[in-house]
Amino acid sequence: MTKILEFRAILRAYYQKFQAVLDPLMKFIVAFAVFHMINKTLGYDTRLVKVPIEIVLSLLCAFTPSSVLVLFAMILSLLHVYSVSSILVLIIVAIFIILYCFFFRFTPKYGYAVVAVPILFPLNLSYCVPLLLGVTANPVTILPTACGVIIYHLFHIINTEAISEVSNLDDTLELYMRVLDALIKNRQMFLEIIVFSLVIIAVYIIRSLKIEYAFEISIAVGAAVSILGFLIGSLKLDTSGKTGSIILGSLLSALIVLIIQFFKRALDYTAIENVQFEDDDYYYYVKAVPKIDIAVPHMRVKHINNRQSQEKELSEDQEIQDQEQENDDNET
Amino acid sequence: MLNNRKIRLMSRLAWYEKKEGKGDIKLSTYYKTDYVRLNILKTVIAVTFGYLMILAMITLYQSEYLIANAVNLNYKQIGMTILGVYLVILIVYIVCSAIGYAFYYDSSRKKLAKYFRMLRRLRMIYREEDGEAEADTEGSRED
Repeated sequence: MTKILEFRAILRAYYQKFQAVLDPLMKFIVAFAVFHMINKTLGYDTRLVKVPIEIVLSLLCAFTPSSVLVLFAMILSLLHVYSVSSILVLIIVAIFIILYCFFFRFTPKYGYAVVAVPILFPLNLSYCVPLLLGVTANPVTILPTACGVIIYHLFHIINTEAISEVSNLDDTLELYMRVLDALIKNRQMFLEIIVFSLVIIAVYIIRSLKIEYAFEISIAVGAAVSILGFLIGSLKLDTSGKTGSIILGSLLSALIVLIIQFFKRALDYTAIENVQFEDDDYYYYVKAVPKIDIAVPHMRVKHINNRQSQEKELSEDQEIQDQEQENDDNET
Repeated sequence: MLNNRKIRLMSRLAWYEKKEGKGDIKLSTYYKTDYVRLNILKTVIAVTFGYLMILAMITLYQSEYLIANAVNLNYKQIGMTILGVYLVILIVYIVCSAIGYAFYYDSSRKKLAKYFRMLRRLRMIYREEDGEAEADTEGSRED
């Protein structure tokens, strides 16, 4: 346990040190993955399927709130579909508006869940989303998760059935009927919405209990609910070929959520905050650095009969002392 | 001279104002009933608009059938069904949003109460500082 706490302390120290770079970098990587995935699956407009465009968009997302990423992802997807058929775009926009009016407007904070579900579906890791939302948020997140599932299936239908199978894309009614038919009769989609909702509720209830290891137990139970729900559902829907991928995906997702949860607990409340304010006499520019609780052991190697390494050791000692002095200054 | 206690308090206040405080302070300008009513009104508008969109989509989806049976349709029954479903959806949304927004308002007020407590402490520090300053000036006059 001490090792884990030490590791957490090291992690916090590094995070504090490189926070200014790490935060935008992580956002950049996530945004790049999202845009790359969209271009890979919906890449109809070849002008948009270019790495420089992905990089520019990701850079913009790295320094803006997460809602901008959601907006860009939606716009990019719509532009790809627009290059094939403008009618399909109208159908998608209409469904987006309905989803917004009925679900999404209540939880604008969780916009990233709407993007995360369609992005993680092809990787078979969509089970991550309900587990993570159950652990970190509340049951209201069922709404954005459901939106995410519907959006994934909508684009999947457009990709696989509408664009590739409808010969005349100008026939508005045929196209419209086909997309809507496929969406309404998609029992797999409804199964996913139900199971994901159950997972969120189960994880939320268990992690709210005042028991030891509540988070870890809730993730395990969430994964079990997910596996059982999808297995029972696949038996009902006669899609038994997916059993292996369901179990593997759920277990892998649980592992990922455990790792994320560890990092989240390690790094929560460790971010350096910069605030500005003033009173009658001064302007204050305050940099608030949270304290680090566990001392990180410094490894010291002692060389005997080696003059040069002794000197090196001395200089290392000096560096350690300097660093400790710096930490003390920060705390005060 | 710099007052460490004051700086710590002001930092916390500034941090709150920068993060959650933005929404909470804006929300504090409403009475609870006004806030809940306003959001219920927004919900009613959104649900009505969404429902109309769904109706339009269903009409388009069933357009062939509707055109073919335009004369034989029981418009009264269709109208009643549409209205009934709308009312059920609307009532569910109104009840849920009333509960949700009232809960959100209460939790926001709790955070805001803490913020006001800190502000009071800051005011006390200011008074202490003013008192000390006055005492200093009186002391210098006596000298």
